[in-house]
Amino acid sequence: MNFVEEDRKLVEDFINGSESAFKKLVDKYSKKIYWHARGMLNNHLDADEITQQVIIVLYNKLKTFKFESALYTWIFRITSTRCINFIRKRKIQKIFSLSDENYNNLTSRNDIVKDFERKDEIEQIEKALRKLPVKQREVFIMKNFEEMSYKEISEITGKSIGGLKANYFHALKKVTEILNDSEQ
Amino acid sequence: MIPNNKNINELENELKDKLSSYKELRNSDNSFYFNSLYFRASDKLLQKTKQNFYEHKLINVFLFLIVFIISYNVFNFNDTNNNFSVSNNYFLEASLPWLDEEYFDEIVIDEEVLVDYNTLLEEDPNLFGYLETLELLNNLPTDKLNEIYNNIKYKKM
Repeated sequence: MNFVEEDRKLVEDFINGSESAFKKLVDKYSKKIYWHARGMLNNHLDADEITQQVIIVLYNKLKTFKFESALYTWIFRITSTRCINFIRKRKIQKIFSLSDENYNNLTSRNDIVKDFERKDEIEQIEKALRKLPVKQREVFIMKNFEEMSYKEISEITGKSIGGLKANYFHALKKVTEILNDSEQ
Repeated sequence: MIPNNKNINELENELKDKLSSYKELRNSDNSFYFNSLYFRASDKLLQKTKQNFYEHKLINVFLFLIVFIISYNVFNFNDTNNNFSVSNNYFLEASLPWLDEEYFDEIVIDEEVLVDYNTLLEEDPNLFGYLETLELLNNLPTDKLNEIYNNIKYKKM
C-alpha cells in the first residue's frame, strides 16, 4: 500500500468513527506541519500554535476532503495559508504597536531546540530565514527542507513553476550571503 | 529571469553543510513533544465542542424566552394580570370578539346597578346624610330651590 492509499484508508476509517485513525494521521503529519510552520514563523510558540490549529482544522474538515489531490498537498495548503495569515496579522499588530518588539525572539521551555547541541547554528539559520520575503521563504523551506518538487510546490501554492524557480534562486542567494556574513 | 538548474545546484551545494544542523534537528526524535501536541490539540477541540454545546443551549433558551414573551403579549394567556376584571368578558379580546358598540351600550343601560351600601357606609359614614339632603332638595318646589340658590349665591348660607 503506497502512502496515498494509506492516507485514504486512514481518512475513511476516521470518517467511519475511528479516532485512532485520526491519531495515526496526526502522528504522520504533525512533524511536517510543525517544521513548515517553524520555518515560516521562526519561533517555537507560533509554530506550536499553528500546528494545533491545523490539527483542529483537519479534525473538522477531513469529512469534506474529496481526494481530488493528495492529502499531504491539502495539509500543506492549510498550513501554508495559516502561516501567511499569521504573518500578516503580526505585521498589522506591529503597525499598531500591539505586539512586543522582541516578539520574534519568543522562546519556550518546551522548545525542541533548547537542548540541541548545535543550537547557535539553528539560531543563525532562523535569522537568515526571517530576512527572506514570505514567498521566497516558503519555496525555500519546501524545496530545501521538505524536498518537494516544483510541481508539488506549485500545487500547494498555486504559483507557476517558473516563478517558484526564480523565488527559490533568490532565496538561496540571500541565505548563502547572510550565513557567509555571519561566519566572518 | 528564470535561473538555470546549474546555478541553483551550485548554491544548494554551498549551503548543504551550513543547513545540515537544521536538517539534523528536523529529523531528530521528538516524539514526546509531538504526542503532547496531539493531546493539547484534542483538548482544545473538546473545549470548543463543549463551548459550542453550551452556546447552542443558551441560544435555545433565549429563543424560547423571546418567543414566550412575544406570545404572552400577543395572546394574553394569563387574565389575572389584566387591568380588566375576569368577570367582565366584554374586555377579553382573546376570548370574545369585539362587541358592537350600540349593543354594548344597551346592555350597560339595561343593567341594574347594585350598590353595596354596607361598604359605602364603612368608607363614608356621612353618606346617608348627603343622600337625605339630596332627596330633600329633589322634592323641593322650584321657587324654594331658587330661594336656596340665591341665598348660596349671595352668601347668606
